Amino acid sequence: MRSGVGALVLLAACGGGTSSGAGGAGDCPDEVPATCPVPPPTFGANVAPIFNSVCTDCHAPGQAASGQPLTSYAEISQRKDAIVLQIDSCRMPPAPMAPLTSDERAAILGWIVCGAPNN
Amino acid sequence: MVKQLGSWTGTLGFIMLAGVGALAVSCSSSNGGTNSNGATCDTPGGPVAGTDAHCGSTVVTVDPHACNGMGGAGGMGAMGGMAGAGGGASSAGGNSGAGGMMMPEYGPTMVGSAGDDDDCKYHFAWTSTPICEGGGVTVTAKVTAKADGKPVTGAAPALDVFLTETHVAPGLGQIEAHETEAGTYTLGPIDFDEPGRWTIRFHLFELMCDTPTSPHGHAAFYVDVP
Repeated sequence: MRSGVGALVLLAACGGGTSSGAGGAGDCPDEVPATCPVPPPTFGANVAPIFNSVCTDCHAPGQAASGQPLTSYAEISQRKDAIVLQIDSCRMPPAPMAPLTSDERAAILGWIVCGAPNN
Repeated sequence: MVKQLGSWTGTLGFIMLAGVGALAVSCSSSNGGTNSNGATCDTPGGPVAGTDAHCGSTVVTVDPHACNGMGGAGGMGAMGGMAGAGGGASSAGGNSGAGGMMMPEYGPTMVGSAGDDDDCKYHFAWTSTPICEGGGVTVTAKVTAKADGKPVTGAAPALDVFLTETHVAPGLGQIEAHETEAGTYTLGPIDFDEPGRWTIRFHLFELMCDTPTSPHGHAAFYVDVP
C-alpha cells in the first residue's frame, strides 16, 4: 500500500496532468484465488443472483451495455476473461453504483477460477 | 536552537536530495534494468518483436455522438441507462446453451510496441520503464486518432494486465492513469509477478458504449517478462 501511494506521488510529479484509473484505486484488494475455493461457488446459487441484481440493469438487450449482455450462463461464461479483469480491478460496476462486496467478488472470481461451470 | 535548526535543515536537505533522486529514477525510461520499485534483471523484457498490420488501410472515424440515445446521459455505456430496480433479466442461471455464436470480446493481441486498436479507430505507441519480474513498471502510451493523426485526449484509459485467464497482475486495481500531455498517458504501477508472456490491454473511454464508431476502444499487446 505504501509503495502504491509512493508510486502515485512519483507519477504525479513526473507528469502532472489529469488522472484516471481503476475505480477502486487505493481500496481494491486482490481477490482472484490461486485455486478453486472449497466449497466452490456455484453459478446458480452464488453467481447468477449477483449478475441479475447488479449487472443486467445495463448489460442486457435494450440497455446501455447491450453489446455485452450478461443475462445468461452462455453470455457470462463467454466473457469470463474480461469479467475477471473488470471485477478484480474494481472497474465494474462503475460509480455511482455501489461496488461489489468482498463476498460477491469472491463468489464471481472463485467461480471463474473453478472453471466457470454451469452448476 | 541553532544546532537544532541546522540538524533539521540537514535532514530536510537529505530528504529533498533523496526525493529528487527517486524522481530521477522513476521518470527515466533507460535506467539499466531497474524499475521504480527496485526490481532488477539483467535483460529487461519488453514487447514481442513484430509489427502490427491488422487494420491494413482501414481507418474508422470516431463519432463522439455514437452513444447518444443508447440509454443514459452521454451514452456512458455502463453508467447510463439504468433500467431501475427490478429491471434486470431473469434468465441467468437457466440457460445452458452453447453460446458459440457470440462475437469475441476483443481483437487479437498484438506484437510490437505500436499498433491500432481493435476497431481501427486509434493508433497506440507505447514504451515502458524496464520490465522485470516485480512491481513498479510504468507504461507510457501515446494515442492518436487514425482519421486525422491528432492526439486522443481525455480518454480516461484503464489497463488490463494478465498472464493467463486467471493470473492477473497483483494490484491491478491500484493502477492509475495520468495524461501527461495531450494524448500521452502513463499507467502504473504494474506488477509482473512471474516470468512469461503477459498481455497488457489498454482501454479508452471504457464507460462509453462499445460500438464500431464510438469513442470506446481497446488494444492489447504481448509483453515478455524475463
